[in-house]
Amino acid sequence: MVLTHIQQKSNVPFDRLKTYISELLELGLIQDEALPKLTEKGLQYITEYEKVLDFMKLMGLTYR
Amino acid sequence: MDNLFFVLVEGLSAAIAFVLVWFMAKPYRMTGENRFLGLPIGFAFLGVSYIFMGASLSLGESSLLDEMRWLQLFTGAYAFVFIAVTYHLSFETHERKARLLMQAFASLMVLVSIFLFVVVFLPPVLAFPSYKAADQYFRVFNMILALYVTLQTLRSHALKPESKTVLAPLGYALLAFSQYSFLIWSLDSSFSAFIGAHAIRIVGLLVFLFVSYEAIIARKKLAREGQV
Repeated sequence: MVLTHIQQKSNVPFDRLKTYISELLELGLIQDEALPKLTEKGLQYITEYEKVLDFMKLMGLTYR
Repeated sequence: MDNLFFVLVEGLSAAIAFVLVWFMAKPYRMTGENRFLGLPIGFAFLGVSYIFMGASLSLGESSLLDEMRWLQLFTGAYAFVFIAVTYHLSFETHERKARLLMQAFASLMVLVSIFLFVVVFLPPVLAFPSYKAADQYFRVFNMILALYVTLQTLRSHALKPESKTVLAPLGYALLAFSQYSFLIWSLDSSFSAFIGAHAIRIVGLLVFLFVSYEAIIARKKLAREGQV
């Protein structure tokens, strides 16, 4: 996905998006800064994140 | 023999509560928001209160019996307070405000702990009502908080109704009903109320265990099988 597409979908200012992309690269969750793609680790993180969101929903907790 | 059975039941309740602490910590670990810390802390206090209850049932006429009973009351109340505050703050839309409120609440709980320690364990600083009266007041207090949490979880369920989101309100309602049953036992020494209170409590905790399993463990298995 091209960075501008990510920016449109996330509605985040471009300079802040670049910071987030750098952080995600450092953490090994994505690869390739120009055309970011999820790594295996990133995929695992999203799976865990969705599990916890599901858990919070089942427990009646609201998270925005 | 009867006491041994109930000591084992308290031990089982405590074990389930401590297993739940691991699951309840996940929202805080994932989001980093301290307003969700109350959930694992609350269930940890719940487990500790069951241990104190079991200890008081097994001690007989020991000199530590009073201390065990009072500690059981306080830790039980702390559990429901922490859980109730978590659900109250969960609906807070401003993260910073929620964080500050949680910090203020935690500081208040530390002060309350010190006050209660002085009042109960360092006589004759202040007189305190009899244990039986205090037990009744605490049961009512816990019941009100558990019902509040039930309503909050029903509110969440009403926002996005699904068959499984009704389980959390059911679990908390069972914990509230368990407190009511303990209150009945305290008021008229009804043995069936005592047994019922334990049974309802175990069922309530198992409901939470089922919810946790469904969300965390079952989903992990489905992901491994490529179905998620």
